[in-house]
Amino acid sequence: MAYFERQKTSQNIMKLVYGEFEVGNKTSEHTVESHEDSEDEIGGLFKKVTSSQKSKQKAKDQLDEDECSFFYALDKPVIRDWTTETNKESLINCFVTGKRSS
Amino acid sequence: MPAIIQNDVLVYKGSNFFRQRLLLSTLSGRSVKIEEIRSTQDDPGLREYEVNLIRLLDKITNGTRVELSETGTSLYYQPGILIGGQVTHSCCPQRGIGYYLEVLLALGPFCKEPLNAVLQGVTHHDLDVSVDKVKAAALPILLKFILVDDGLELKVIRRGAPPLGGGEIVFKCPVRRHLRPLQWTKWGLVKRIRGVVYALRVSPTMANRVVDAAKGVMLNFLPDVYINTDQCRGSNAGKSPGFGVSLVAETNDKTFYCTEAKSVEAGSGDSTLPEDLGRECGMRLLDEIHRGGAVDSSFQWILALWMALGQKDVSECVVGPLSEYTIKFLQHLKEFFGVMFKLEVLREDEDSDEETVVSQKVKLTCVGIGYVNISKRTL
Repeated sequence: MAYFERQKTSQNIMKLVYGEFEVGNKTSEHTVESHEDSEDEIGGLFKKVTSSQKSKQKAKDQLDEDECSFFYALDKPVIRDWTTETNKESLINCFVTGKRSS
Repeated sequence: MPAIIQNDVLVYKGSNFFRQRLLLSTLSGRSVKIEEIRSTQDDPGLREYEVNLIRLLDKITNGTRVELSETGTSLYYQPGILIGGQVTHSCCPQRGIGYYLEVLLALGPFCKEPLNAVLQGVTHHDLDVSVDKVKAAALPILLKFILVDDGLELKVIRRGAPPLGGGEIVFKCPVRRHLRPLQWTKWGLVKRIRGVVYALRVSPTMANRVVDAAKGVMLNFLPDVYINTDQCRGSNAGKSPGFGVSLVAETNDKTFYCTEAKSVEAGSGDSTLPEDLGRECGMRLLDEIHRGGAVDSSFQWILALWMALGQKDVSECVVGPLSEYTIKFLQHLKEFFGVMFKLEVLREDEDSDEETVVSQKVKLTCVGIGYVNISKRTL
């Protein structure tokens, strides 16, 4: 699930959100794909997927998705069962009935 | 995907975030061009609900120019001046009223005349916030920015389930010259749970079964749980059968979390058990409470918008983990208004010894751009 992966990796949230936006808006497409020669090939057949390719693919996939403002937008994950004892312990302090920590 | 600027027009690709782009374009006055809308799909071009949104924007603005390509895969939108006033609009039943209502809510304070909108359509939809949720969780946020409530109102007159809808709401929003900066870093503890269960064209016992299940979950944590049932009759129940629930958790610092669940569309083959529905909604609410933050996760973006458009002063809010939608919205805000937020991840290390799962909180800080509603008449 995207969010939990993100939570593990997001050291710098500024970069996560603005990332490529730091230098201001692009005026035109000027980045030329650097030619990846055979050094990235595995066994002379497969090419390793670089992270930039991965994010490009992700952006492409998102292009025409349905717009939805929910937190779990289109993927419906299985939500943790909060009523089990251990989970309940951790959540109860969000309620006025929880034990005071002070 | 970042925008490309051509002759001061922001050029985007793809149909996603269509609403964000038009909304920000309207507020900032910058034209947008959206290309390659579903160009690779079997059914290319804009959907009916998106065209419907353009119509709605056309109704509340003056001088908006829209050019659509023949295939509908590319759109040029030049925004006009926000007027507001009395509007009646029948929303496309492909999406919920929430889809349109969120736009009106975001634009409302910046109109020339106070907005008085009658929206007809589907009041509860899987992809959109329901009208109950907007009422419960979004209006209190706006109230924080405008302080005085003179005529902020959302009334659900009729409910309507998909696919046919038939619901109707009235939304009134006052206008402001500018919004106040906001400091909102504490949200307190949940003190009460309220909820509404509605049953449209189904047996009234469905509603009661949902109530029982939802209450069963919430009573684990708090005794103050009260869930209303709204049995709609006759024309008030819309055109399609369905039932659903929305639960609201209120904290002692006036933060409202709201989650919803609804039955699957009639005719889709599946059926929903009321017990499952109530339990599911309860679980979602607990998850939302766990993620925390000063606003409900669905409205982070609207909070960011109003913070950015505030007076030239520092606004500071803490929210739960950012949703994908909010991240995209922050990027769009930067492109349209040049506002960048300072984002910090807060970590509470008090009880780090336990292996409890603590959700990540994000502190949003920004200086408002001093957006002034020039259309508002001053006495």
